[in-house]
Amino acid sequence: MTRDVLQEQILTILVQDFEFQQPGLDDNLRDDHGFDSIDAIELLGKIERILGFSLTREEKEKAMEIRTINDILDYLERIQQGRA
Amino acid sequence: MQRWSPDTVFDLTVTLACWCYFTLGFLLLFAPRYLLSGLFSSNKEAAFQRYNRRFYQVFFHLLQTIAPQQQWKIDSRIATLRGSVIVCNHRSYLDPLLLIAHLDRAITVVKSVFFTLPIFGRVIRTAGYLPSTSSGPFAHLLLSRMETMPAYLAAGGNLFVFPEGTRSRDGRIKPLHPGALKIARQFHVPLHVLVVTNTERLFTPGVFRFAASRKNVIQLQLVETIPVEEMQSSLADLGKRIRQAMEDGVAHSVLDVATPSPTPPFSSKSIR
Repeated sequence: MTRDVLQEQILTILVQDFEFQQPGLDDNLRDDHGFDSIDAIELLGKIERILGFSLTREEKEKAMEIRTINDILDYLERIQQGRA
Repeated sequence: MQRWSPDTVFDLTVTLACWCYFTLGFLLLFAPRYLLSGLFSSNKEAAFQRYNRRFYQVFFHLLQTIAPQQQWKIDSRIATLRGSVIVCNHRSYLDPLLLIAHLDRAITVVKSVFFTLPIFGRVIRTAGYLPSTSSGPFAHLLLSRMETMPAYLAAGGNLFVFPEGTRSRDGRIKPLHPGALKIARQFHVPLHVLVVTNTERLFTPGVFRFAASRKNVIQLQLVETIPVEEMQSSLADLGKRIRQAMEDGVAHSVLDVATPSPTPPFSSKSIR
């Protein structure tokens, strides 16, 4: 899945499910949109559905350090490359 | 030389008795039970939650006995809550103890640093409490807790949270963090709103001594329930609803020392 496709899907989720308004790729998720660790865990479940496979505990723990949407996309690309 | 008033001596005596219970009472009465459960129980989490509840029940019994100026109005419905997320305003360090003592099964969110303490950290970790942060070593713990949360709630457990994040010093409801709302929505459980009042008059933030000699009515009320089917409103709308319920609850709670309620904190109605 390309970065552009992932970006579109992640933005859709953030707007529809997490009530983000006009998210920017480098916005600080916590400070600008109130995205907290509970949201992060819920988002991981949705990411697993997008990717079509389950994330390992180690991969999930790394996701807890994500700060921006670009970080999410980098994270997803690394995971896809690791599974390729 | 300064002479202490009888009230000051009484307050100090009550404070000393409470701290003795928290130290010696824990070591002599409860530590062996925690230890045995930690070694042999097949469900350590439930056992530790039960002992936590019992520990604070005894604490409030003690307080009720030695400080009769404190009157307690506890909503008997609170003991019947099951499988839910509960939010409450926060005035004093007594508040979490009061909720643990009155809820049948309860876990809560605790400052992450407490998980690193030698004994207390082990107790709250085993009891299934959640860390307040998810960075570094707490990511693993938080992820584990969230994975087991559906089963915990389905088995009747409650998660209570103080959404203000800290104690209000002036009684006004501070901005509410939406984390508890998100959990209730995510796991499809109802959310209950409680209001506690006047605990800060007994154990004031920043003051070591219990103001046990002062007449006081402490109330813990269930003021709102948001059923599952109404949890899909926007976070903003749900937040407004919770804030309104808390503000109304605080406004309606009456500091009426002239006609205190005869209901003790642990009447047969309020404890199963």
